Amino acid sequence: MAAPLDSANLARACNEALVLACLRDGPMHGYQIGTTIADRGGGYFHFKHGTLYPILHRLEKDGLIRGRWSDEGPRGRRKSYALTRKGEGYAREQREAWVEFMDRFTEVVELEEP
Amino acid sequence: MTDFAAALRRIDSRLHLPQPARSRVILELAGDLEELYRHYRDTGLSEAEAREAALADLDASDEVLTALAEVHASGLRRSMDRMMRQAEAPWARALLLAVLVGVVVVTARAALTPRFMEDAGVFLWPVGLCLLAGLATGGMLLLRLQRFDVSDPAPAREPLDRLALLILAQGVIAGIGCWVELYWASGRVVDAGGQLAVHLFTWLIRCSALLSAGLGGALILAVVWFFASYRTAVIEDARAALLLTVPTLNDRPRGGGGEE
Repeated sequence: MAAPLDSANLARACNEALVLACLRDGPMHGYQIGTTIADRGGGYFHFKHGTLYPILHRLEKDGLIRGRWSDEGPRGRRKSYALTRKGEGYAREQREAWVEFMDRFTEVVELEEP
Repeated sequence: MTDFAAALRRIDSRLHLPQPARSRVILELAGDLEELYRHYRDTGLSEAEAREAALADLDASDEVLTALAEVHASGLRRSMDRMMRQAEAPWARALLLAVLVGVVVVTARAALTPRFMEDAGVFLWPVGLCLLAGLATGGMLLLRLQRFDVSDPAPAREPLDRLALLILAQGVIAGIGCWVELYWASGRVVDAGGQLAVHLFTWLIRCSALLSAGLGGALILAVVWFFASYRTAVIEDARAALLLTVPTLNDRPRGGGGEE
């Protein structure tokens, strides 16, 4: 059984899970993460790019992702993020926790239907 | 390169982070702004529209910038903030003021004796310099906070961190001074021989004088820090409340202008 999600910080946990899930595909720039989530989410998870930075920096500080600067020629310097080994494990745990959460949520909502 | 300098300058002035973290955040934002601009240009928007869309999408709101500052705040600042929050009650502030007065009186009485400087030794100088620098920093900070208007930009927290470092420095210098004095005293015992008790007591007197100055000074600065932190927090809360209650330009109804 997956560790239960902190329901008091559900929005934060959701945003973190979305970012970590994106990075499973490989390193990405901040703006790429935002556009990928928006594209895949079908409009459900369109959050402004600015809100991504506190999430990315917190994950980086916790050692779950690693930011790397690269010189992209005429485009200038860009920072990209990749999952660390610790982050891969955490992302897996988060995914399991969310699947469990969704199952429980659906169960409760269906039971309460008139 | 698109010119986002003015927008980045506005963000920079509102981003309360110490260097170099602030520069790194600005660089990252600049890079991503540029990419967002390209992205919107590729979708067929004009240069001006793409620029506006990229800036709107970035959303450098106060909430986002505060969240960023919190992520980058040092452990020292976080623990100091926690301590300061515990001193918000009027009785706690009165107690701190009493401690400050008591420490100032006791330290001043000890420091004003004719032998004190000689007893404390050479390490008294850096300890004293830290105290003076701390008093100057704390005094200027308290003065600035006292004159602060709620409509001014939020007060920077860097002077508080500097003050905290000076507090720490005083204690550390006094501690190191005691060890070095012990080493020198041991050398004198070996050289002179048979004077162990005299050198030991001289060292003890030196240590107590040095620690009185270092810890007393640190305590005085700590109380100043508490008051400055409290005042800063009050201003920050007032500014946050103002942001929530005063309508911004974007909140006002557009077009027409007249009330009907």
